[in-house]
Amino acid sequence: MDHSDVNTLIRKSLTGELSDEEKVDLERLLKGDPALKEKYKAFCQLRHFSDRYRQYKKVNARRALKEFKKEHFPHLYPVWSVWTAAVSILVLIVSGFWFFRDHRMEIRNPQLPREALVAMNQAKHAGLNAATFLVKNRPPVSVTSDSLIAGIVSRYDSAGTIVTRHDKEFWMSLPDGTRVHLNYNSRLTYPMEFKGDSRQVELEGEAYFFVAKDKRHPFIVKTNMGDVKEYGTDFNVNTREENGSMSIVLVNGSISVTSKNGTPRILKPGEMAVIKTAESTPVITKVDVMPYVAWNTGRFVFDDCSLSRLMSVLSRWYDKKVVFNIGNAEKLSFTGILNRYESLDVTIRALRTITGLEINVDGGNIIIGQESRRKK
Amino acid sequence: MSMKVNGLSLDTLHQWNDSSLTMLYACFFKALVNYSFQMTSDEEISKDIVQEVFWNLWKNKPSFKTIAQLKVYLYTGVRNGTLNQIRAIRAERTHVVRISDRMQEYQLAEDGSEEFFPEEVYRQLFLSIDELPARQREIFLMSMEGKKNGEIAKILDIAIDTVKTHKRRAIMALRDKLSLEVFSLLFVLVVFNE
Repeated sequence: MDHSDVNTLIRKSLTGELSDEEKVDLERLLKGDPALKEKYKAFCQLRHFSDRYRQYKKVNARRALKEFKKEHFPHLYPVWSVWTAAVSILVLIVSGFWFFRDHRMEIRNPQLPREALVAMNQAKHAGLNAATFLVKNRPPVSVTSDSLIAGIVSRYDSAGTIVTRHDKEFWMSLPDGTRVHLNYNSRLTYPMEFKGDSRQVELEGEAYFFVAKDKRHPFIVKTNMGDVKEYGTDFNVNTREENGSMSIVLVNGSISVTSKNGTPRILKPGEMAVIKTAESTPVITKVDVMPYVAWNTGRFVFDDCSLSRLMSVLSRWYDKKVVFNIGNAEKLSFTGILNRYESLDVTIRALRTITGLEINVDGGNIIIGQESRRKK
Repeated sequence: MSMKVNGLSLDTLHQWNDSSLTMLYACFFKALVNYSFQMTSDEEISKDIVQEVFWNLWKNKPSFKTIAQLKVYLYTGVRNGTLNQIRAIRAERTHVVRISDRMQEYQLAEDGSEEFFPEEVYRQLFLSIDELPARQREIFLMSMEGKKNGEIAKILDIAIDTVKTHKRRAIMALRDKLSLEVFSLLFVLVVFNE
């Protein structure tokens, strides 16, 4: 098929220039080729075109190229020709402080792994990305996105605190580019600008950190049980494990964990440090990191977990009470992955099918009844 | 924000050096992100997907016989990457089948020549629009949005004749740059707006 014919016919039809004969030709073509008909319809949408151009224009290809080179050919960067060295010195003298601030922002921002980005968007779409932002001497402000915070802080604010409720989480960036994913019921206090030898934040609750690389300024997470210090990595800190202890799980990179009594222990990827009380030394074990960090990518992971433990996680997440009308909840064990952002109905239906139990939602309660083979 | 480059050349690509990379980004990056964005509605995710496709290209350094083959590689890579991404978001299988229908596939005709593919039309169009002088581009885009000449004149506070002149110049400039197929489409879009 000669494609220029097709395009000419289409163009003529849209400008009203079709002869009768050509009209018949075009109709025949469109009828015989439903795919073409679709394409034709698509091109009739003029509005779409200008929206697409606007979106196209927003993308910065030059910067993307730079990021590509930085990621895959980092050795290219220290190489300065004489000319560029001379230019950069000139810029330094002229701009002084401004240049330094710019340079700090060049510290590599961690690219979130694909899974995390997907989970972040899911949370946002599900309306679960929300927190309260607190700053001294001002009333608390609800925020549903990191970008809103910039509009709230003023030059005089040195630090802020983000607090999540029991049913929300929050994704945000720190001034050095570190990305933080705060789980529910958590609090993070951080400075508006990192100054000094190290970058310090305070955490209560649970958060996942993707830390921006900066070997000269270690990133320190302070908690009421101890500190986690690291140099460019991703890891999970949970200060409220079930038995009151604190756990830190390292996924990539290198960190050290110091409890309040002062004994630092180094963690390697795939290891977990548990601090039982503020006085104890961190105990390190090798773990499968997945169950501890799955929440960060939108999943619940259960590995040989009792039904009662499973239900306690779900009851906290969906904000319902669980009523057990069966005897041996401890004996049933569950291994699997659940989507965190799924509706309660779908999750309950899945559980019903898998366990064969009667599970129903009644108001604010999830009721687990007698074992039953009947289909509801 | 637009990078200037003198067109696509396989010779340049096969050098696999800095010029090759610059050419790839200048000619394809924005259009590929735009293609992926139609499905993801997220610029960051789409940018990631395209960066990965470019990296795969660089790792493999395949030898393309025609520019059409290069385009197939790029569009197909981005399509696959995007669909995988969407699958990660939505686990239901039936949904995935419908979604992959919505994202068009770029295929070549039996003789290896390029087939009609809207994304490629947009790519060439957008690159050329980027290269228009600012005023012409502004007026051209406004008329794409459906504004009549009179409206444009009012908004920009210039004479209607000036609007018509700029519009005509924009069309001429684009006509010189675009293949006949692409330009026919463009002509439609402009005339339709009178």
